[in-house]
Amino acid sequence: MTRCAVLTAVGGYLPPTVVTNEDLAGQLDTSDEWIRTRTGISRRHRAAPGTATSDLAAEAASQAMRCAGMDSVDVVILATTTPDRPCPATAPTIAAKLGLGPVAACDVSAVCSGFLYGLATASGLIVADLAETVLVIGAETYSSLVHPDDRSNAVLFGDGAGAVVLRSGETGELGALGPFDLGSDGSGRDLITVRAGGSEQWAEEPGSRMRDAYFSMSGREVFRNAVQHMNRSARRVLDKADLDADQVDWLVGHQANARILRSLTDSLGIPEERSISNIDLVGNTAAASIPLALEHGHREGLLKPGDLVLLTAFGGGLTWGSTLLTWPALAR
Amino acid sequence: MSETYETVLSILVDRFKVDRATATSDSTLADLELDSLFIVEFALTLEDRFGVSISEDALSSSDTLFAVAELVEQRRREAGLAS
Repeated sequence: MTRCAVLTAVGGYLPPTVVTNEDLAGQLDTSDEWIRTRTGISRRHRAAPGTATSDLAAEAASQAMRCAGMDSVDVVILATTTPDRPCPATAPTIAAKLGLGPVAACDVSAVCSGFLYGLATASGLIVADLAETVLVIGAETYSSLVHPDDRSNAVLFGDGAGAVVLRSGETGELGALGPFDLGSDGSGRDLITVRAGGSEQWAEEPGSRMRDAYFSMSGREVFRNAVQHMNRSARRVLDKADLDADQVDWLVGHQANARILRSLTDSLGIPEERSISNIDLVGNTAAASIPLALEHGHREGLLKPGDLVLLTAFGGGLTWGSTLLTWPALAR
Repeated sequence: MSETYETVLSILVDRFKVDRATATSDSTLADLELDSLFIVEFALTLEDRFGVSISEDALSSSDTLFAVAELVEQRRREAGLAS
């Protein structure tokens, strides 16, 4: 037995406003049938104006802390593409909203893979004995990033937050996390991007910092890259653990698009009915998608103590990451 | 070829909800209403099913089902999977 990170709680929060496909069909040149057949999404939640990512994150984190029966942690890590502000990081704001005192807090930026990167970072802090407990949150307000008239992205993305609490433990116990696989390919940075607001545009054109301030994505290239990188990353993590795909009880893949998830289960050889999916109800919530899917699987009673869960994500960067988890016995 | 063609057709019917009664070897992917994202998914499915590499750029909406089956056969021969 060696020291490792153990998942001990999960929480999720969705803002109350629901946007259905019919709502979008009234605003954009689209239809419920078009959206469903191409994405598998029927509704998504939207944060109200005035609600920031830290507000969603604090709600999910509070739920996770209650689930853990804890009122303090050593570190807060937030994975997000939509921080409250470009500077400073949002995690300290969340820690302050939760009344956690002067804890270590920082953001992790890896777009839709961010939660996996956050889990790996937290796991590393625990294994290195730098922390006993870490709150890892994935939270997004993509409504702030997607142009409302951008049909292809407006139908896909939703707002929300999910959180888990990790504590130190030992390999072999329920909730144990690992091994991990992480990777990136920066040559694909233009495939999923917001071009404005960074030092690059400032360097190119001083004074025109808000051009291209909205999210853009190259659907065709992203589809193939997402399937291939999640497949390869998941296989690497299974190899590290000396396990086969048929030993996995549940696949929890990044909820990018129902068709990407279907292609992923095909290429991994995992039956679709062993893939946890809530994309029809929440859309693509980027860094929040994996913890929200875990919270969904827990709440619906799908995830049972001892189940082997394979987590895999792909996102802008390009980035990807995977890990394994034996599901713990959690309060509901 | 006919076995490959039948498998290609079955993928389209089972996965992409194409009506078997209306699809012929002369039907193009556009005739079957496969848009660009469906073509990527179709290429990935062909790769999984036949164990060959087929980029979405190798397929276009004007390709017929006969041409798709021919492409798969060619890739299988190149990979040493078929005579």
